[in-house]
Amino acid sequence: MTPSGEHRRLEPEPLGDYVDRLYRAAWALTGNPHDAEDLVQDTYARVLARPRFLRHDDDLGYLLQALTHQHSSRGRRAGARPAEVPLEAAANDAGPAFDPRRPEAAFAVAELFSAIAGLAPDAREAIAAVDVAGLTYADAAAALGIKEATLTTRLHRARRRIAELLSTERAAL
Amino acid sequence: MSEDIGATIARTAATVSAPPDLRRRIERSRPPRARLAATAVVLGTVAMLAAILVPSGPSIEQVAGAALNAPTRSAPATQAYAGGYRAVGARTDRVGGRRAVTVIYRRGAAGVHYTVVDGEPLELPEARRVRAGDLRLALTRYGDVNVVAWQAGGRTCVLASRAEGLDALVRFASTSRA
Repeated sequence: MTPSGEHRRLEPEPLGDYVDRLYRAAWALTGNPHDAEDLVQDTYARVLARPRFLRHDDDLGYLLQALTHQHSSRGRRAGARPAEVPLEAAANDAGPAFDPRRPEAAFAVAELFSAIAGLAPDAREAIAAVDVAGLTYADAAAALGIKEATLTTRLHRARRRIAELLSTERAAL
Repeated sequence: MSEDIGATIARTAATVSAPPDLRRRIERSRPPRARLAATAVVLGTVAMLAAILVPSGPSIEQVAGAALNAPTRSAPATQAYAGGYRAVGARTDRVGGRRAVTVIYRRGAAGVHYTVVDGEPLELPEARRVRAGDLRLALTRYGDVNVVAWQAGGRTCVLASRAEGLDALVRFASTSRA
């Protein structure tokens, strides 16, 4: 909250500092880097389209909130939320493994983000906000519109599930 | 335990940077005043860097040297095949302070070591340049090691091989999604 509790204008200048974190969160939500790029660009375009006034000082939280809303809207527009698929199927959907034009998709990152994208939406958003984008529990709870205790519970479950998924994947090697 | 998993996820995620092209598109969508301010910041940063210009990060030769070492673990399942080669292992090194992840591929007796180096793009060697699609490849040799290097997605990619020639490495680098 601002010291006086009043609204303040969201300044566009510093927002570029959050592109990396937004991009990571978007990749975790969508499961692939191409959709992540589109999602981040759409989110910035939407936020910057007109002046915004916030009660909080947390610009990243605001951007993450806009990102998750944008992602949900896309899912609805597509007819439904993204299908939850097993990790193995998600990995196979990525196509042939090697793409020299996308080195950022390489190695463990692709496995991790595919696993997160395969979680239920609540769990996926909790992990994307805290572990991927780096928000505090309090800021993440505010951005997602839930209580901090709820966020903590979702995070614990989601992290356990991610560990199981990745263990299964590695055991299959 | 939950916190440990969260920390591991955070460390892995932090290795990812947004593609430069995405940054440019976002920059273009910002209001003019914001763009001016950003330009001033960039110009100031460039001037400062020019004043204290010190090369950072390893050379491509150092990266290739580390990449040619034996694998230390299994290859990720998502990197199992590339351009007719099969992944046989992987290793992670710190070279010149940078994390370099290598997957080792084989076809018959010939090995190709493919490395992605984290952080700002490294300076490519003064070498023959070849275009392969939208990649601009630098081709060179260090002793008996053939090396192809390029920059993509804000990172540096290096292929190194003693058995395969530069042509084969260029074909490997050109492999793209079907």
